Amino acid sequence: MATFFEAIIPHTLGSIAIGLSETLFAEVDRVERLISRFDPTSEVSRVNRIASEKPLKIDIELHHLLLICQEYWRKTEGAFDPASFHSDCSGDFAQVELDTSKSTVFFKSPDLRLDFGAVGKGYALQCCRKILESLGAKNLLLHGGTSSILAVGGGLDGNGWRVGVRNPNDPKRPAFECEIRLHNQSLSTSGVIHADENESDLFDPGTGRPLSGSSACSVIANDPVQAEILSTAFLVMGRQRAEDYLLQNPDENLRVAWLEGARDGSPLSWIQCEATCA
Amino acid sequence: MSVNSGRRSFLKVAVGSSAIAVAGNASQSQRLQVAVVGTGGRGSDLIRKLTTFRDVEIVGVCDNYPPHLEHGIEYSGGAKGYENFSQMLEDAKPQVVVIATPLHLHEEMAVEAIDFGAHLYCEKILAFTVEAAKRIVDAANKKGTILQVGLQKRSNPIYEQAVSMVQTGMLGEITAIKCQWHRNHSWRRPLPVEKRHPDWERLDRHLNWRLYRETSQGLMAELGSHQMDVCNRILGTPPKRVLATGGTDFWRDGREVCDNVFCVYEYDQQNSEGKPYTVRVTYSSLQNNAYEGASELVMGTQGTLFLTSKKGLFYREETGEEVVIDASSGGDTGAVMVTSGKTLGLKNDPWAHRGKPLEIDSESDETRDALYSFIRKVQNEDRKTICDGAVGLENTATVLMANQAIDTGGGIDYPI
Ligand SMILES: NC(=O)c1ccc[n+]([C@@H]2O[C@H](COP(=O)([O-])OP(=O)(O)OC[C@H]3O[C@@H](n4cnc5c(N)ncnc54)[C@H](O)[C@@H]3O)[C@@H](O)[C@H]2O)c1
Repeated sequence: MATFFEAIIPHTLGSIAIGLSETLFAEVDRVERLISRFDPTSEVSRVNRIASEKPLKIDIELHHLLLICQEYWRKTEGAFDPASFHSDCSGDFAQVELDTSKSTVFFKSPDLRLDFGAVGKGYALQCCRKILESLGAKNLLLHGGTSSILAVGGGLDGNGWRVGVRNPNDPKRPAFECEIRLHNQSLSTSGVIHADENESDLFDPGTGRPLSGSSACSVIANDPVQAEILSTAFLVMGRQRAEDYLLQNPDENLRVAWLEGARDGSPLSWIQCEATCA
Repeated sequence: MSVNSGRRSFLKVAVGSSAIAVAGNASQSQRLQVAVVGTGGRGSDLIRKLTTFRDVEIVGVCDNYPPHLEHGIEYSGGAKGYENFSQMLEDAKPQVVVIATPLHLHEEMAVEAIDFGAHLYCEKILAFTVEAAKRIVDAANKKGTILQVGLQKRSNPIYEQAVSMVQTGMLGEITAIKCQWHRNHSWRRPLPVEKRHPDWERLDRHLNWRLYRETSQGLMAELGSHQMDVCNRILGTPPKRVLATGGTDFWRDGREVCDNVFCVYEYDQQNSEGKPYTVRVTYSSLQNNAYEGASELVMGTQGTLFLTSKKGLFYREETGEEVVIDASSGGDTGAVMVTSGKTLGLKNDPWAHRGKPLEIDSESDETRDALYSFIRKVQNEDRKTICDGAVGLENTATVLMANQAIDTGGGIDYPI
């Protein structure tokens, strides 16, 4: 996932903190070995190399993840698309054929490849959450590259894990200008542009072109996969279509914030939520 | 082929096995019936690789720890789950058994599977003692069992390439090998219950079996085995002797196995004139520093190989470049030596031999390829697997002799 993961473990879990963090990072590594398209030995690399030859029987977990992706690809009308063409970065998951009974995948185009960049961190967090549940760890914060966060429990004071969201237009302003508190929730933020770049690393799967503008979108959800997928998809869709999505796919657990990066006042406006934003 | 643009390399080979990446088509009836025992970390991995072969059907998974059994069932796509191994054999009647349980259980399960008539993929190391490994190999030979041990570097094309580079003399005479598996990792699994819970002790022994001497042979068996197998392969012979030391020095958490070990193995070799000489192999494993991780450095008179499971690098020994002495500057050019006829720059800079390596890349998944090869051998009724009983036995002995050396001690006390 070419990013760093960090676990914040309260002192109350001190005696198992080392073992816990090792277990979580091992799980992140395991997910990476499964879905990284940069690791030539990963299952995804194998799929990318040969799935256009004939239907390929693949690992069941990857198949399951592809089904989840397919569902969001449909729901977001292609704004989220983990299948992209080598040639122009546009996407078309319609070219990916999944057969659930046989656990196979087939690419109808040889030019296609899978890229889990817009879901991988969320998926790793989801896997980690399963482990945390099985170990009974009830209060902990884990994040991937600060943009995808999993909060377990309600933080040190029990009032929620405190996280801040940066103003995309003015990254020097204190992050905690917009404070969000998370209780057993995930938060994912996607921005069109990072402060140190001049072209977006997000592409519109419809056109194959990088996104433009300066907005960012934060999604709070129970499920880290949902949070990560939607935060990127909403940016691709733009605010109006994102709002339409929320009307068509009502989900009371979702909180969606739109950051336009206005320089005065709070840059954050909530599309859906009751917010605790300063 | 992999391309590594933006990085200079004078030659690069990509070794891979895409030809065997697509499993053949097989009708349902021909599918090989496989059962897996031990669905913890390794077992789950093996199950998942097995499900990517069309001609394999997982007919049973077994684990006596219910949360792990659940994973096994899930990963296998809903195979029948068992808590008892004998019951699984009886009920599922597998043609092939895969063993991925803690080391102390390998012998009992392997012999039972062999007697039952199944072919066997057994995780490394083959058994807890050399005698037990012999009993497994004997039973398999008697029964005609096709046996493969899970030393999966055997299926890694980088090591295949390394062995042939050594055999063809690209490194000259091998004079030493340095192997290490260094990590910064406690090896201790967190448990689902707190320490004062009545089940803590039992669960700790069960899940942290690696840390206790009743169930584990420690770092040499768990990590060193893969790399000592590489050494035996490269040198074409098992070692004749070992000196070793180790201890529990950092992770003092009640564990009984060493958290760091250092070994020197000695191997008999013959030079190009047929004269005997000794190659020394150093092996170390640490659990509190990860610099250079898991890697092997094979040193020869003509070159050096740096090996890891995803990349190999070959460096030619530099003989030094000719230096033109500029008389006008008084001939004082610093690090210069005069040899018979030529003036060469001294190459004692530690980085001098690290220029322009030949890179060896691999795209293959060594675990999947090891299983794939094994499945093919079973289908072809070929007992000559890539890591058969004889290799497994030799490997067990190679690893355990170091543990014995650590326990026996030795060395000279200061002051003399
Ligand atoms: N080839 C490799 O690279 C590699 C990597 C890791 C482990 N291994 C080997 O695989 C084996 C298992 O290691 P692991 O890391 O998966 O350990 P693990 O503890 O994760 O898994 C072992 C499993 O065996 C189960 N088990 C214990 N007793 C049992 C019994 N009587 N019946 C049924 N199940 C039982 C445990 O519940 C556990 O789920 C070891 O021999 C280890 O050396 C090999």
